Amino acid sequence: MARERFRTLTEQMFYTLLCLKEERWGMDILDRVPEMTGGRVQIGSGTLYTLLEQFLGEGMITETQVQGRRRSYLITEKGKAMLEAEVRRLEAQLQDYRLYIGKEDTVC
Amino acid sequence: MLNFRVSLRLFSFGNREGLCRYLEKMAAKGWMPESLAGDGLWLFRRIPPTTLKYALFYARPAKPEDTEAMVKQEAFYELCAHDGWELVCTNAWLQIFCNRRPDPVPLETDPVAELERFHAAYLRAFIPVWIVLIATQILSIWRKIQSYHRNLNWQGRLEALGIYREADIGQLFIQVAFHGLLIVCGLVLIVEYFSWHRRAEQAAREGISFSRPGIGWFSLALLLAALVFLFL
Repeated sequence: MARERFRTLTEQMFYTLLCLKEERWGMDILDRVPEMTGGRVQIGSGTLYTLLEQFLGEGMITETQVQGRRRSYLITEKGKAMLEAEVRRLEAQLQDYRLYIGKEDTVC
Repeated sequence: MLNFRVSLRLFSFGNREGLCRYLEKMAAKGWMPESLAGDGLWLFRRIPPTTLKYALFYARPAKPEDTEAMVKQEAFYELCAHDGWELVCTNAWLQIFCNRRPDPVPLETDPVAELERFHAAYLRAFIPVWIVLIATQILSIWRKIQSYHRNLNWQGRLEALGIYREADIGQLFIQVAFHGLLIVCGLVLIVEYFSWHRRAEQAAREGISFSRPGIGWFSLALLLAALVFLFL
């Protein structure tokens, strides 16, 4: 089920997981993702809450600390594997694109 | 001058655009929702006319006795407050937020995650109701047919006792047709929802947020026809 749901990661999923390479509070993720992407990607609080719930449910991240209402999270090995699979998929896509553009240039 | 007003404005469950637009207009006129009962019975409280942004979050509010869910919900509200989203009111499966910032980060930014949350809420809120509706209608048809056969079998004896009730095939047909129509309505609603969801899922993967302004004309027509039958 996890493979099916996260077969491809959306940008929000990708950057949330990437952010959690280091232990972070939920609120820090909201600030960190726009920083990482130069403001190109923003994560809404509702989206982040849903993603954290789903990732925890699938064992892709783990809760490390709870301080009152604040919770911190860290990516697990399963989460890292998902992230790496997504990177490989994107690389393959990029490679195909370059190959296709290269062929087109040769024909022209 | 009254500080509260009640308003009946119905919205279908997925019509978040229409609902938010309505609440934004009400805020501009100086009204903030205090509570929402059912699909559209609103209680508004007077506020100074202002520009507000509204957003919906499809989740059942935690019950106070469920401590773990309450803690998670508080954590969620804290995340929302970080982006300026404040909880305004809730109903069974919906939480309504408003934001005073002119250009806030939307509450939902991932169409895929948003649709999954909506779908989960919809499955729990509506599908069981429709399944129960279909099951009760099937049971009703079965009971009507049984009753017809009983009347047919006992007709002679009942006549002798003076409590004769004619087994009327025409009446049976009308009753079965009415219950059958309700079954069709339930099935149409279920099939329509799942086919819409399949299209919405594909669109969400392409980055398009879902839109579900109301139920389709066909299911609405069937529901109306069922109501007409009821009053015949």
